[in-house]
Amino acid sequence: MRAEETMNKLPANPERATLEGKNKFLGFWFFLGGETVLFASLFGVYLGLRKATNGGVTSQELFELPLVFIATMLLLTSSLTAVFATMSLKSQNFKAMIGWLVITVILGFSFLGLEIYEFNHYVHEYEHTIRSSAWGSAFYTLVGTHGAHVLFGVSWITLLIVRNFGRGLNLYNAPKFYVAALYWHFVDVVWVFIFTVVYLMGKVG
Amino acid sequence: MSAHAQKKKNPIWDWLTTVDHKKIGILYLATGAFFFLLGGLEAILIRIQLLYPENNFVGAQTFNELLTMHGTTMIFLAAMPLVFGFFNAIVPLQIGARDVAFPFVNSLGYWLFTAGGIMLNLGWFLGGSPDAGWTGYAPLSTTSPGNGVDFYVLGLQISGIGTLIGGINFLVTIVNMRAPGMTFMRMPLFTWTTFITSGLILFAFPALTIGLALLMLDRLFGTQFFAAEAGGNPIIYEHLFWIFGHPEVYILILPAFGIFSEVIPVMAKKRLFGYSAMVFATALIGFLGFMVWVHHMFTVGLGPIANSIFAVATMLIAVPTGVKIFNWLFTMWGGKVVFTTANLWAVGFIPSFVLGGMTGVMLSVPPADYQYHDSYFVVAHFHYVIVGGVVFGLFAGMYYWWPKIFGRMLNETLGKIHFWLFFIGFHLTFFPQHFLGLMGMPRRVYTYLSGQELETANFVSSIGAFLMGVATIVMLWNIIQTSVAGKKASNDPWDARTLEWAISSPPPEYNFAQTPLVRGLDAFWLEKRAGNKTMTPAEPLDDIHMPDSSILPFMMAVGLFIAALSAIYSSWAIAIGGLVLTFAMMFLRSVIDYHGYHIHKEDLPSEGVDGK
Amino acid sequence: MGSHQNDSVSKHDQSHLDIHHKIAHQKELKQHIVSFAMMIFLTMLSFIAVASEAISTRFAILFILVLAGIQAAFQLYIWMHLSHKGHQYPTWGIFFGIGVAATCVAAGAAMIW
Repeated sequence: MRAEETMNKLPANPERATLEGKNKFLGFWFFLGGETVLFASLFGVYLGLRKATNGGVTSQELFELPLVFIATMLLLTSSLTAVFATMSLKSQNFKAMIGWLVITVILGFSFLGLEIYEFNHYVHEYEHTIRSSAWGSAFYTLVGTHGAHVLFGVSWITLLIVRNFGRGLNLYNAPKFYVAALYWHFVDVVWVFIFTVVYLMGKVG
Repeated sequence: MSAHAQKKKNPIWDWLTTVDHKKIGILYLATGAFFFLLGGLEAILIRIQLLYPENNFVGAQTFNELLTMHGTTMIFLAAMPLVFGFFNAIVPLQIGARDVAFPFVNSLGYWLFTAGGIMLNLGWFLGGSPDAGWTGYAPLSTTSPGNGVDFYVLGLQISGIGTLIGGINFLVTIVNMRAPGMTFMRMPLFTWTTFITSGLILFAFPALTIGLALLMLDRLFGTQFFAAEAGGNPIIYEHLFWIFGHPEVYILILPAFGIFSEVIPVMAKKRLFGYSAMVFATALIGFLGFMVWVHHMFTVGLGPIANSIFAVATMLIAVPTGVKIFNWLFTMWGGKVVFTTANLWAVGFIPSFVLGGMTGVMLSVPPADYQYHDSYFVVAHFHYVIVGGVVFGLFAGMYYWWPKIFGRMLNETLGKIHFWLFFIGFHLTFFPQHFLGLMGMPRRVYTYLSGQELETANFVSSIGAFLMGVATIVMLWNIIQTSVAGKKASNDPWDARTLEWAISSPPPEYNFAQTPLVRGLDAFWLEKRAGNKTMTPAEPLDDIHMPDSSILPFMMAVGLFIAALSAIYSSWAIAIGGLVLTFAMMFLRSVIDYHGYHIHKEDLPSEGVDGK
Repeated sequence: MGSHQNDSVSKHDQSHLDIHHKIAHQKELKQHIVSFAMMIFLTMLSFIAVASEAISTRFAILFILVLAGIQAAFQLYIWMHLSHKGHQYPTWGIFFGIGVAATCVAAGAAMIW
């Protein structure tokens, strides 16, 4: 488990080749199981309160599908680049992995930019805030929690890229890259349900 | 962070930075014991207030705070950490592991729990404790004036995160770190219950996290989740709380079941009756635990269909629980039962817990529940399962594992006095409360009127509580006396069956010099039957890899504590500073490489010297 | 346990493994691109179903929920490699989580008044 191990010598699944790696891999999957319940609770709250507009703007009036579609495409593509990074990790092509991760991070930041624009737009154009109605509270909390996950994900992956840039792949950092990619996929899975349940269902009422 | 520097640290620094599961276990046990005493004191104050009708010992507001803090403290700050203390101290030893899967996360879990526990109790010094009941139902909690409920919300949130990551640690430890030959169906029952409990923690706590987060948003940031006047819905909070809350009950009781399943076979000199049925029953209880939360909400008005489905699911849980009770009885049947203190708690548990189980089935019938709901009948029921089950289990575990954890025997005579005083006091306290409830006395009310035939039972109940208090003093005296002048414990004082008894008391920091080879259920017993004094090693003697200790977990908890406390007083700059501190520590954890260090095989004591 | 299991692979075996690995790699790459195309397609279907006037609201909601489920399965099994060897425990973990998640959603969506 030393950094000087060259890339070619790593075993087939470098993310799970050490006991530490195995533990990280499994622990992270379990963590994602818990995160599933976390987001499901927020979805339950949202579904219970999505008609509680308190006399204010409704979801039909508020949401704009083109914006949501672009955001979805950004995140979906970033999930593809993350899976390419995972494949580069498995074939131990460090440079390609970093390249794909950089693209993932850029797409993630673009998504965040869109979300900030969207929230800002709602607050200033429609006076739809986290306090204006129970639906507003549920909307910003659910979508905002997802956004916070995206922010954490891009920061985490950026940190991994910067920290390991000069030293290549080894058995110590391979599990870290692998679980960061898993996290990114999970964030995308959550978004699939957000665009379906929040935006599309909100549009049809 | 080199190997040799670590040996000369001062003790305070050592305990703050330790990642050794045995030391973290002791920290959990000590902190849990402190909060247990605090919760017990609150209980006694409650019972003094209820000693006479229209008593004015503490007054209504203080009574509300006392009962809220008693419940919250006993569940989250006493029972949970004591359970985690035993997980930490015992489970890695039982599976023949040198360590847990995530020593760093384990330490972080402890410090988060402690930070949350302190946060919860700050209200006593800062102008009012939480007063909305341990369930914190909205809108009572969202509209409660002052900062009391803020301490509840943020304290529980921080300690809940600690519990969640602790649960993940034990899941992975048990899946990945078992010694060669330790298959799932050879694991001791305590390890099994730890495994299932950790799973329940992982899937139940996120619902609480969200429930508390929404309470926090409503209280501190003016959101409308539970404000009916703005379209909010307080029933959602009840759902979230009980989706967590019911599994939480099993999170507490399953480890106690595990402890009894260790103590009873050892003290009866027989293998556990129906091992695989016990494992299956544990898993089934865990599984069904997620499908019964609505039985706490029968009177909410969800309709007859929802109530009926959840009533049937609730009754179903009695089946695997009954299987367990019979298996313990059959284990004792025909055995050479020794009534050590540990075993007294186990034997006393069975009738006590069965009573709590029976009232549980009574409560699971919705039409009857409309009568029992929010009365002292419910108070009697859950104290019978939680004290008669969980607390008895923790005491059994304490007397059983004390020699292994601390290397000294507890005094058996004092232990038996402790048991009998507590056992009698417990039944005196809670048995009459069944009838108080049936006579219509509501729970959570600070007093009652005279002339309604409630005086005698309340008086008896309070006397019982004082007896439990005296019993606890005897226990404390036992601990103090034996830690000063107690008998040194041998490796295996009970002639026990599982792996933790194959190594010295207390165990060395690396647990097993050589990983043991496990040849069957009750691995150490098998070796003893085969005439071996120790376990057969599964590997040659070699250097032992150890994890680096670290101050970062402590600092992360400090950061969150600062952030939460400042948020309560709306000092946002300091709150952000606290969060920055926590994230900076996470940053350091990520960028610093932790390779651990090795204990060289030449430095290990030669075989046969330990424990002598 | 664990940290040294692949030390004994000889050079010959190693190159052999590399070839197999490359073939598997190509296959996987193709699989990922196909899944990506599928997911884009499913996403577009969802948006069209909602935007179109011809589809009833009730059917559209059911339809997009099913599509979301399919997309999630794609992500989990293909992109997060849940179908690969050594994923039994992760599968248990995620599916138990989904089970509890279903109860949370049901509670918030249907069990309130």
